[in-house]
Amino acid sequence: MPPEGLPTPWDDDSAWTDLEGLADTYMQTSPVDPERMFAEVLREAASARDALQHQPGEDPRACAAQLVLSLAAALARPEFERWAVRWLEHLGHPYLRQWWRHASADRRVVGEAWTTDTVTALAADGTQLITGDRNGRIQQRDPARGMSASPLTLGEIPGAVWVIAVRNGTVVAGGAGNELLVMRPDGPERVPHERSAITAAATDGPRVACGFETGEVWVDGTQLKWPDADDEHPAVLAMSFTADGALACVRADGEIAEHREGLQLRHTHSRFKRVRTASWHPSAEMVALGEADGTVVVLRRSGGTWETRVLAVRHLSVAALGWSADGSLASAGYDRRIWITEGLEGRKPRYRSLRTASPTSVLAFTEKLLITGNGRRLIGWQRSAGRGGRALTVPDEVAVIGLDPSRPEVVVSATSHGLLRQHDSAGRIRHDPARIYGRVHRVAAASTGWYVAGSTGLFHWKPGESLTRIRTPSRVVTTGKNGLWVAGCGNRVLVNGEERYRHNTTVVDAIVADDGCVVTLDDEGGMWIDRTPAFRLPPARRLLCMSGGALLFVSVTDGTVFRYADGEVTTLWSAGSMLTRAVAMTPEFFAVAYRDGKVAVVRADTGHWVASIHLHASALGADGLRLAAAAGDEVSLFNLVSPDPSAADDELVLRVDATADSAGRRTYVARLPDGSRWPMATDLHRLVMVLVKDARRGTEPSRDLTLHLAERLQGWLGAAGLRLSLDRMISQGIPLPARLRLVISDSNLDVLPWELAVDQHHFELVRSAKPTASRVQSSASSGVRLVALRAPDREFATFGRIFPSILDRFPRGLELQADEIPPVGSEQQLRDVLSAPADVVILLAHAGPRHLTLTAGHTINAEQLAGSLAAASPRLVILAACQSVNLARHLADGGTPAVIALRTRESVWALEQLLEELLVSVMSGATLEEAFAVTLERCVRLPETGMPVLFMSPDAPRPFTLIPSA
Amino acid sequence: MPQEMVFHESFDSVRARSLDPYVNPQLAQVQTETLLTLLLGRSITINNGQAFDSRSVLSLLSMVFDAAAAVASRTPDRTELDLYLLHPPVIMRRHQAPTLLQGCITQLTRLEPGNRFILSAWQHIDEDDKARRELAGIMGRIENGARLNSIPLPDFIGKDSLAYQQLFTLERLHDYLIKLPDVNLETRRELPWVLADCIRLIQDKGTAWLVDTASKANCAEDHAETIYRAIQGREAGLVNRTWVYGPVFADEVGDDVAPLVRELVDTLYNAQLANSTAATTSYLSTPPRSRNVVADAQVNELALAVAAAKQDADAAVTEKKLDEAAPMSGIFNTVGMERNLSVEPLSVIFQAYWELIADADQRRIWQHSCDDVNRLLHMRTDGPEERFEFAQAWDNHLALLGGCFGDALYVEGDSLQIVGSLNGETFTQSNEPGRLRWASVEQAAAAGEYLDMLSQAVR
Repeated sequence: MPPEGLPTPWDDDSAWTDLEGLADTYMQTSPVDPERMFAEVLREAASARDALQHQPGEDPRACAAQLVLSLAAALARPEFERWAVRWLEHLGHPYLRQWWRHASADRRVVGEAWTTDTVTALAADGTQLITGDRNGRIQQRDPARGMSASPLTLGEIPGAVWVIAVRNGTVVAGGAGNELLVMRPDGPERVPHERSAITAAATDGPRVACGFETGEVWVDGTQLKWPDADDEHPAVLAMSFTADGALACVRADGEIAEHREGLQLRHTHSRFKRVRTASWHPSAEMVALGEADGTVVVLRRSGGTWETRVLAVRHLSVAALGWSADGSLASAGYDRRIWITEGLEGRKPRYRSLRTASPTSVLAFTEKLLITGNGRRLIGWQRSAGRGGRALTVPDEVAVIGLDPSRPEVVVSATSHGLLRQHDSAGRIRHDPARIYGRVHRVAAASTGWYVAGSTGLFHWKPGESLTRIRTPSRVVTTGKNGLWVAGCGNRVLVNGEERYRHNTTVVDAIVADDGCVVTLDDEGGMWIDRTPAFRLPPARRLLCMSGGALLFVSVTDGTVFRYADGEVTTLWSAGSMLTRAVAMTPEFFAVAYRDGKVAVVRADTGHWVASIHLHASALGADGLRLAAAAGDEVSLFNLVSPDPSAADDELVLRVDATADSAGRRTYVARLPDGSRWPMATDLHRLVMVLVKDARRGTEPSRDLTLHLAERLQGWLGAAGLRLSLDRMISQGIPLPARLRLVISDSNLDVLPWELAVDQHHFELVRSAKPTASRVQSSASSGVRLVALRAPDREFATFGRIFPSILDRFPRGLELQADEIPPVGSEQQLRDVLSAPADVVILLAHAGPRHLTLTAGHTINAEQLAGSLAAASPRLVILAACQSVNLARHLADGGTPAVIALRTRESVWALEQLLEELLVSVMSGATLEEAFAVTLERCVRLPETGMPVLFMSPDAPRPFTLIPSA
Repeated sequence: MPQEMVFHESFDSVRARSLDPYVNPQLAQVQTETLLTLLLGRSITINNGQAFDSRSVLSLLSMVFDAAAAVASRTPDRTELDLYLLHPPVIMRRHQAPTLLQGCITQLTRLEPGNRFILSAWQHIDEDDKARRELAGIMGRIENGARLNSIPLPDFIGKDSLAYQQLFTLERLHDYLIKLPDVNLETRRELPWVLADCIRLIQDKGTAWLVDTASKANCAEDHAETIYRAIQGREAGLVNRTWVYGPVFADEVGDDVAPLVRELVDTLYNAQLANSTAATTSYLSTPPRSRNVVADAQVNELALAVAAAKQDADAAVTEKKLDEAAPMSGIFNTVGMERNLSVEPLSVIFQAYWELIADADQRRIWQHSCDDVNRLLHMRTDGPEERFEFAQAWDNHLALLGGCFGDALYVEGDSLQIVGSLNGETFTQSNEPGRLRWASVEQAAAAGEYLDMLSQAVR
């Protein structure tokens, strides 16, 4: 169903493209903020007519639906996404489905503003920010109203503004023009000076002071002398009034002095270092000095002396310093880093850093924000890291994207500053970014990690591990099937790391054809095919793909796509000169980016548009139906989805098959509900084997490993195509979550946390066995008999005590037969208790991978257990026993409709929690899958629990409930 | 020997003389321009006249040699000579002189009225014939193998630190040329054209042609008309540097017109010199701190267009030809108003350059990138395809340099900017492929920036 207030699009033709009307309607019906925001954005986007322009042949309704889809994805409104997907599926039109979007910008950036002139001075008082520019204009801004809120001009001075001081409503500004402008609430006053440029200023409201480039100090009309006798002094860098009315000054040679009375400053401290910039703490009890060698020093007044603290931060050269009202110090250098140092009053300061794209030359703290400036740009930063605060990366443009055919869950992006990042299945960056100096030209998947072609070398990068330079600079690297990789390093072509041949000039492009043939191209148009010079093209051609002996390439300057086959070049079609880049997704589909901000998927042979998105692409990457695009610092991953109404499936099945290659190496392949096959990536396979070996040895796998593996599996399956299945389900109106049956051909994989590898909001994963005989009842019986058993071990006695309270939580009207739990110490006792039919059997005992322990030294194996349960013929068996997955599979194979077991070892306390959650859910009328999903989610959150698994017969009814419905 | 050699108009000796009190911008202009030339894998070409009598060139050479020595001293198994052999920074072109020092001696002893050589870098002894002969004698002794520190020096050298520094630099250059004979060459004997030919072309073609050329070269048509009026009635051979730097020139043509004509003549004269040095590229610039920099820059463009027309027989100026004439352009600027700007002294940046040369691995990478850029730069006027490939290579080169030089180099869009300080003043030079974007020049000028000089290059 569409979200409340939205029309069902295919019921009302006129509403299909009337997005503005739709947004208006929805805004009236939805008072909730997120929805209002979405509607507002939708209206804005819809009113921007160019966003809805489409190519000839493209369905305008699909454009509109795609717009809704992309906005909903960007604003994280899943219900609108589903709505748009239903719309697109209904239209039967292929579309690009955005799966994630990642913005690398520091989350602490709250906004930016561009000033009319270069900002040369900043100061703040409370929420107000005062800026001074190189043309002498002094303006007031209120960042709390938004960084781009219009400024108020306070006044002007001749020449550039170098310093601003503000306190208690008085603003003082001076600079290159030798004039001090004092702006008090009762009016401005100009104080011309004939000394030199003003380099420092201070005010406490009523009083005003300034310092000069030549070292003089002026306070309220009086010129002060320094205690040292020279007439000329280095510039005064900072000054401030103390709480008791003294004026404190610091000079560029590190000399600190203060003035209380008379005409002379009193020397208080000498640092004897060349200081570039300085800033006084608001209380004037501390002063920060940025020294010429990049050191930041904080001097703190302590009685009559000064304590010196050299901060751990180090800049290339300190460019700006500033204090917040609460005593945090921000320092910025030409290294494009800003350090915020907190806790300077205490013994151990805390340091946090921000990275900026360009060096910061001025900064100031307002009440809530840190404002930094460079040139005409002002950036507002949140003071605290907040969510995702570790993403402190340069917000520069993503210039290269790489995808890995064998690891569909990961994408790599490289920025124009050489920052390499690997995105996981949700777009997140898991590892610290790596950095290469120079430009990254191409990224290609290696068997482990990535090859990176850059202007300083060809690198092998293992995210989070290493970045190794393996060759000379490279403009291109690409991979083909069976681990084949090709790189162009200068004019040399390397195949699998070995030089094979040389072009006359620099190799700028290469592809591997589907038959393994290598095609390379140099910057003067020389093309080689399969190690042989083929022919010379004009320059500025780029290769797209080679399939079935035909090579397709594109002219970057006019967008013409050519085909080369049998020694002849033919023109296929032209994307026009607006083309900026093109990549081959498959031999049938290309993705093309245009200068006007569109990315289109087109047919390779005709150039006809198949689907499009509105995005100013700075980089494109594609693999199969996956398309990754970057716009500035944002990276998005899309899938090309082609609706196929005939693909309706009765049941969603996920198969994981084991295959062996010619060398006997075992690999796993997932077969998805849509029929596609996805081999498990090598590194994931390696991780899986660690867990499998642990399980075989009976070793408890670490919780971290399990969760990490679950995440990797989720990425693999999700990226591979489960989400395509999801779209199909949405379009078919299948209610979510839907049951997804997992069929594993290799029982070794039973120990993997498959249940955590699917999105539980969309799928309820059940494991499936091959039952020898189905004993599944099609509907719930009128009453429920529940038999709970426990081993006599003292540990399990606690469950005997809490079981009655669990029963108390069941619905009152439930026709239930349940007894207190008898201890069962032998196979015979077990058979006796289970001699009568039971709907649910719960067994609490110790277990190993292949047995159940009833008492010390008395174990029963899977066959014996199955035999014991035969007479009871239960519909659900809950094995509350550690590592009982194998036993559960055996029972399921034997025909038990549903078996819940545990993958790992657990504490008795955790088992009790699990049973309580599960039983109460099931007995409250939830379907077994729902109850299991709820239990799973809660168990994952508990610190001592492992993860349960659910085996369910393929014949189990949908929904599978254990109690009669009301 | 490097394939790419660049002649810089900023080397002109008239721009900075030894008695000029303030020449920081002139010296910095030469140094920043040279740095950007070297960073493109090119060498500078100088003639023996500049080497002897251009204060800017002598200051530059001192900086280059000092930086190489500093890097060699801290690099194991490397000498200055090794560095020069790896990448000779300077190519010498001698004009009718068997050696550099013989050329110096000839110029010092050209004393006869009407043919007297006016000294710039040695301005303090310009009119002192005895001192000139004495200096020539010292140079003769150096030529014969004596070391400067073993020669008793007269006060006008020994007590004048600038003069001594310049003489010491000449000795080092003399040594450099002996050790690198491949870069010690003669000027071209036959020139395709000289200054007078260009003036004659203008006079022959008439004002309409010059105005049309100006419009194609983004020069104000008024300037073309003004210049034409000033030179139309004068014998072409007499429209020369002697005239435009003569005492009556400004009175003759008017104070407003004089700078325009002087800029035209200077540019064409230096283009002629560039031809004589067989430079592959010449970088013809306006002087720093001129009164009307935009007008000068426009006339500079006009002069380049005239030179390009003269180069070609049919004398037709086209956009393509102008593009060929200006494969690279730039702006030199002061950044004195920027407080807190962290800048390295230019001497340190020269050291960074030699560090790059000394590191075999980095040098190979850089050299390859330079080769790509220079090769494709010459092809870029052929069409959009070639321009695209050049843009890719240029982008790659900028990223590479950004990585090597860190904060001394900035990359903004297509332009490569170098920021460095000289004697406490900060200067910046930015270069970009193609002709200068006038919008950015005018915007900078309108914003009140210290826009000191515009540079244009000609092939």
